[in-house]
Amino acid sequence: MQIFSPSADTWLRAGIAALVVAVFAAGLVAAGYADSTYATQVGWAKDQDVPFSHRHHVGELGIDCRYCHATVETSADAGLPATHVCMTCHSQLWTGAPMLAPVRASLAQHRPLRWHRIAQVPDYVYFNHSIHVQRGVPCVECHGRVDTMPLTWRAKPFQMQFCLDCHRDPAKHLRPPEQVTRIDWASWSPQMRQTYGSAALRRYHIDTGELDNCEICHR
Amino acid sequence: MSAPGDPAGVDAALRRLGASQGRQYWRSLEELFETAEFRRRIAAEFPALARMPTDIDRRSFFQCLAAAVALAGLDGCERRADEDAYPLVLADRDSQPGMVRHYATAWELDGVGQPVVGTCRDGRPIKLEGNPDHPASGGKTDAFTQAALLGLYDPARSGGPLRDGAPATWDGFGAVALAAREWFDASGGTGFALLTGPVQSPTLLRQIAGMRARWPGMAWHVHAPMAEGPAALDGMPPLDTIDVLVCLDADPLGNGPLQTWHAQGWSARRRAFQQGDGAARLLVAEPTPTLTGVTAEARLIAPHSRIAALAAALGARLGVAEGASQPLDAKERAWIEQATDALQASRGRGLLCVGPQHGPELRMLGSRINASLGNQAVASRSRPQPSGDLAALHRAIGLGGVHTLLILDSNPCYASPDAAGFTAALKRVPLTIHAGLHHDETGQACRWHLPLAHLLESWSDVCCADGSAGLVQPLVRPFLDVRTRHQVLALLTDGEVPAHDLVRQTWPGDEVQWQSRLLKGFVAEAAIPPAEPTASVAAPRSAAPQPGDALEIVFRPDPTVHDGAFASNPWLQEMPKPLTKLTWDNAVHIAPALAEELGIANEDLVEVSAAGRSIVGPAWIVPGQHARTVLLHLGYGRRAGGPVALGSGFDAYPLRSPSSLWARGDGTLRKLSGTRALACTQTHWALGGHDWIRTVDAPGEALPRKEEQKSFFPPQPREKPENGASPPPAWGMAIDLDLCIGCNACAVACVAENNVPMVGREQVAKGREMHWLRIDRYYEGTPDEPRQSFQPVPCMHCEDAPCETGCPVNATVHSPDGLNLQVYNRCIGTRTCSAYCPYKVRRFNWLDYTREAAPALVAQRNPDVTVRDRGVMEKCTYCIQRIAEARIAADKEGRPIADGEVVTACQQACPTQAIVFGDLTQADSAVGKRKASGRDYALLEDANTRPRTTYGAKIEGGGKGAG
Amino acid sequence: MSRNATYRRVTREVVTISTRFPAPRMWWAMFAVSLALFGLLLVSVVVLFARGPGVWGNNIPVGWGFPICNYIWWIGIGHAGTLISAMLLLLNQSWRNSLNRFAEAMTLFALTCGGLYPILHLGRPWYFYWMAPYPNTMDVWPQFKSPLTWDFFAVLTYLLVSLLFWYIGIVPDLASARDRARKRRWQVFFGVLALGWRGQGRHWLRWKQAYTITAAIAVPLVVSVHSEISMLFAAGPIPGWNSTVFPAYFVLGAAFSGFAVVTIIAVVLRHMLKLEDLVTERHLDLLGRMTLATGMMTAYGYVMEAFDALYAGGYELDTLQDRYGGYYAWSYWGALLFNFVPLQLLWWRRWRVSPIPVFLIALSVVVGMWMERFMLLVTTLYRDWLDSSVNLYHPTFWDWSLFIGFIGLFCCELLLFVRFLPVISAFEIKEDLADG
Repeated sequence: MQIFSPSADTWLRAGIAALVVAVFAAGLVAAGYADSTYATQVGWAKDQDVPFSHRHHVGELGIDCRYCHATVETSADAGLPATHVCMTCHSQLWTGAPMLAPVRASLAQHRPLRWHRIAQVPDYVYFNHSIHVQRGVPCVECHGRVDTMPLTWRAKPFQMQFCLDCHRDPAKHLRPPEQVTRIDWASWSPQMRQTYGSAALRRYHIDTGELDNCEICHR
Repeated sequence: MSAPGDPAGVDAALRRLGASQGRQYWRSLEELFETAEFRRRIAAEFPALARMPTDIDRRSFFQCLAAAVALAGLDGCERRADEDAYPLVLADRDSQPGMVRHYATAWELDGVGQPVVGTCRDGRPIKLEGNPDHPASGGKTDAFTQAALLGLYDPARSGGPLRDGAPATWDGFGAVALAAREWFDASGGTGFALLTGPVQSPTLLRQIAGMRARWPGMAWHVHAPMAEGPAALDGMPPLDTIDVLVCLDADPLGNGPLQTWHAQGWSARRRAFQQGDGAARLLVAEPTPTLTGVTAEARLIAPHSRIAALAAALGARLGVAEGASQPLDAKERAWIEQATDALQASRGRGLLCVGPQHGPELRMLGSRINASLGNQAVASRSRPQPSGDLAALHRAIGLGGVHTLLILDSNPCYASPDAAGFTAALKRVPLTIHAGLHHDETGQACRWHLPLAHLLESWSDVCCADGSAGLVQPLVRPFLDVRTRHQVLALLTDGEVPAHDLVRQTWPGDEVQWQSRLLKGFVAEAAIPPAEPTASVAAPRSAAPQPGDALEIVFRPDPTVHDGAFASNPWLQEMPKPLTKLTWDNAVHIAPALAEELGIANEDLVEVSAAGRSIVGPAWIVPGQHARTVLLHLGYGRRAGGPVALGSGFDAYPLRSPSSLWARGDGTLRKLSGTRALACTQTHWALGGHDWIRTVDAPGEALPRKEEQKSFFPPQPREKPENGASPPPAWGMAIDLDLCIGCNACAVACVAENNVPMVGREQVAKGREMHWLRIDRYYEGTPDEPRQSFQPVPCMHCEDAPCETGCPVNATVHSPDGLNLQVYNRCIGTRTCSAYCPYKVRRFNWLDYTREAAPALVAQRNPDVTVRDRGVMEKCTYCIQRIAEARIAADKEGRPIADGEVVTACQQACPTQAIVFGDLTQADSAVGKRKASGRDYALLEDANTRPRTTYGAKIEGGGKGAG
Repeated sequence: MSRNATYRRVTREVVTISTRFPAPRMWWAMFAVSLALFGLLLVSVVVLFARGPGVWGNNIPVGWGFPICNYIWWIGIGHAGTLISAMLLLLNQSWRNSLNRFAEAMTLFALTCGGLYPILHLGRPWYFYWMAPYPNTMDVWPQFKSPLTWDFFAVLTYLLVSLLFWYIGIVPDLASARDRARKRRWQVFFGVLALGWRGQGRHWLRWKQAYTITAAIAVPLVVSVHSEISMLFAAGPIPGWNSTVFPAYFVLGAAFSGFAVVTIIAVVLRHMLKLEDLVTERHLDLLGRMTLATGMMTAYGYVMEAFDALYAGGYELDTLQDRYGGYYAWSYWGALLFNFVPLQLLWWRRWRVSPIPVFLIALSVVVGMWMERFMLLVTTLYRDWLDSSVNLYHPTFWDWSLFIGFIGLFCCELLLFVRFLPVISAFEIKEDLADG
């Protein structure tokens, strides 16, 4: 009496093959997820209590980053603007605009505004804005073209490899410090930037071989 | 702007680059801090430390912490939790996020001011350091001062007034105070008694004087349980001028309010001696080991009752006739001869120092001997005379002469010989008011309990060890509903007055002067002069020698919780006691001989009784203690004062006799059945011929060099990088065992700086304490008279580190500047590194030690140091966060890191400057000099790990006579 | 009786075990106990993950306690299986045929237990895969200098190869089981596992090649795996570990404990499944000799270790004295006692061939070898260089529960195997009969 149909063997082989494929596929899916924008939050605009538009303030009005993020040059944190910084203008402009109601309320009741953080690294990563800015790493390298963002989103995947890519070869990312906050700066050809970058590395005695050591970011 | 592809743009940029110093774009924090205008603003800035921002900071801090915990060891494939940010509403340049500010202030222990500089980050005080400008601190601190910060955040502190144990309001008390005031004004204050701790604060004295003038009928009592203790040696000449110090049962280097002051002086002299300048001799006679005793070159083990005889003998030999001196045995005679010879050899530069607990008569004899040798006098500082002490108050209550009692920052219902009796007596006082940090034993016995503000959040002033007055300014606006001690008194005299004004009134002078004083943190000109000791203080007599087999019971303040004031401070509770390495408990200290005689082993329960009263506690055998002496540490067995304070140790106060507080000769000891497990961090301590502790005979002498062993590891990179950069620094540490007195300051400082979690008695008993820096204690010689040595052991940062070979995931690696890094977020907890570590300095988070911390404690944490999660290895990092800070600051200014710019927490705290840290590539650096010395040696050279942390050998003796 | 008759009997005895199990009551009793212990394992793991490694007695300095100790013990036990089947196969030792099947199975199951321990003992087990080299968003790779990384590969390889070797070997018997199965579900069960084996010449040819090649791969593993595990100790600078004798010492100890376990299983199965005339006295005899041989070699390891310490002196000598007279001396003398004293009986054939004594001797060896692992690990760690860091290690309830739980898991696996798969390589025995 026959237990298995003649095709059983084929099925078995197919099954085994499928199993192998499935294992590899699973790996690929995991890897894909790790780099997906869902995991890295790249390009996911967040709703804020106050729908602040960098496109309007930076792109159209051309306000310098440092006007609001005042401590970016002196402190580890770039800092979010205090309410009264917003009100320096908005006590004159759009004084009645409903979308600014929370700002006025904040000032009136002395209660801080709440912002959902966009650019955010884990707490065991100690990123210091001041030294990066001082060395000529432009804002746009990590924060992207905020001047095109109506609501702000994360422009780069803040994964370790993203940091390392730059730390291992900083030259082509560097600019003259006075150009650091120029989001749309494109005056130089890649070669020129390379030339400048290598010069800057020499000037600052930066040994790129040491920039990717653990203690540079982790304490 | 340059057109696309315009090479001129590049050239211009390159030129600018060549010229750019980095500074032209902004100024460094230090520079900012230096300007007088900035300093003035800081001084005027306190309103900016408003509660609101503080809370915001704290809230966001929780969120960061929560995130840190949630994300610890984050791999690429997890979505991060969302996080919110709350910027300030009104920001000025000083309240920028992440900005660090330093304020000179002070806190008080036993009425002695401890000048400090508080480090505030985002409005939170996160660290205390000594005030470098202040002579009494010189930038150094002791263990208590380091731990005082945690006292500020103590979750057990009482947060609001209580009336009969029920929540009340300050206004409610204000009404009571008003009524009382009118009554006192009418009656002249008769029936009103004020009980305080030891008071030296000028403002407090001014207020009390004012009250006594206004209400002549009132009585002011002072209860100072630790005054007249062996370490209460104020008014001593600075020790850096003393070539020969002879201590009769005195402990100037011991843990106490004056430790920093004395240890500094002693260390200055000792370091001079190391350089071949003069002598630094120390001879001690004492019943039980103290930090001073084990540091001494000649230590005589003499019972408390023999000290008088020894003093007499000294006097006799030095021609200060003191009747017929009792006969001495051989050892005593030898020591006396050594001491007298030494003192005579260096007349005018020696000092005989008698433990205050031996009473004024003996101290007078001491001063006479010093005078005869032309030495500087040991004088206790003159204090305004109170109406009496606690006993007097107790009597007065008994006579029904007290109807209103205000107890200010004192705990007589616990810290007094007859606490029970006094507690009962309080019932007979119609109105009792207690003001203190905790709702402690006294608070519970009183009608009203008023929460005091911690000094670190108060306006006040203190009197420091050197007699100079220190100003106290708040590091943070109080986050509880509390008042300062001055405000409480003012409530009685005038009603609500701002704390600042009360202190300001004490100090004449215009605003500029006031501001400059605040910046310095002290008032140099207002020094309180020393005076001859006055017998009017209740004079404890030495216990009369007892016939037969009675034991001598000696009482000492506990080296970690002191008189019990720190019982709710985990940092101190878990800090191993310098000489026994016990944590979380006190014990009945007995000599090995006595233990053998009575068949007692460690942890056996014993009963100590005297004059009908007795206490029960676990025994602990202490080598080097006098055979017939039993030592009890005060400060344990608290009955109130917070969960941490409860349930540790036994209360030894009841055994004290009011007539002789520090020793009694009529003790008996009985072994009971049963044991109590004690958490001891070092169970083995015999040096057993190993060379872990090395010694030389004279300052100049060098240790025998061992030849360099072969190693498979590549040598550490020291050559110049090809791109012309300066070589990376090679960080290293040198610890001079000749200067270490084992005081624990470094260990507590490390805990405070690096968010080291406290794990509790059970975990410590399992061998899981988390201290990154432990202080090993070794014995040599016989158990009865051993030589003791201390050895602080942090991570050695080996150049050829075995731990790095072991880790499978690269979580512990070597940095170019020679640090042995531990990357918490990469660590998976295989513990191989610890298994391979010859020094066993690594610590592992066996359980979750950090997530459950109370919010207040979380607020204390240093935001520059990662909070470690469960299952992660950790260890000393050479304070890498401080290195990184210095590196970035230096880079921004385009200069190398200067020597002394990076100071580790342990180094900064160490009162004897035994620890030095720095860059080994700079030959002239402080650490370079130490390592060049012939006394420098590496621990466990046989392990061939080439440690970056090395030790300086101890020097036998202290030089012959005066140099 | 005629040769065919014998063939049929062999087949019946072996292959029909699973379908008509001779000792169901005994089996159920044993299985119930094992299952209960396995449950204990699950509980212990839940508690461990909920509260962290702090539930164990580990501390500083004894950062490794039971977990690593038992890990080494289990992996060691596994070795005999491969040794017997692969090595003896290549050496044409036909007597192995009655033992190899369950010996291999035993290897497999011991590895599952041993392999899980290092993962459980991690502080953050959920990141165990960081030990594997794979492209990741952190741009970080494992540290290939570390013995633990070698471990990871060694154990993984060993697991895969043993699995392959065991499965290839069992295929023909699965086929005959399939053919003799009456019930439909058994036919399908064995049928699927048999991969459509029809016993054609081509099949046998391929099978022979595959089996021999896998054996050739497996043999070096016997030596390499435990040598590597010994590096876990030998690579550290700790007195008592840092010794060149360790690899050989560990491998021989492994084989020693392994043969003991095989003996135990052989005796039990022989009795439970009435296999007296397949697992004969001859087999017990040979097993006894192997155990004796490897045991004496292990003893030599002890001597060498002592010699090394005496020769080196210093801290090494301290550690040796600590082993003889220290707090954990019981583990040293216990190891000597249980490992080598009863063992001496095996010099006499009379003892080797009598099941009960052999069983007891083997049992004592298993205990002794565990004590040796404990001694090597704990007495070395609890007191290494500085006396100031000395700390005693006391295993807690959860240490023991995990340990016993794993034994439960092992027995469960073994019993299921016995119940449902051919425990003895019937066709190889038939080959054997055919040849001789």
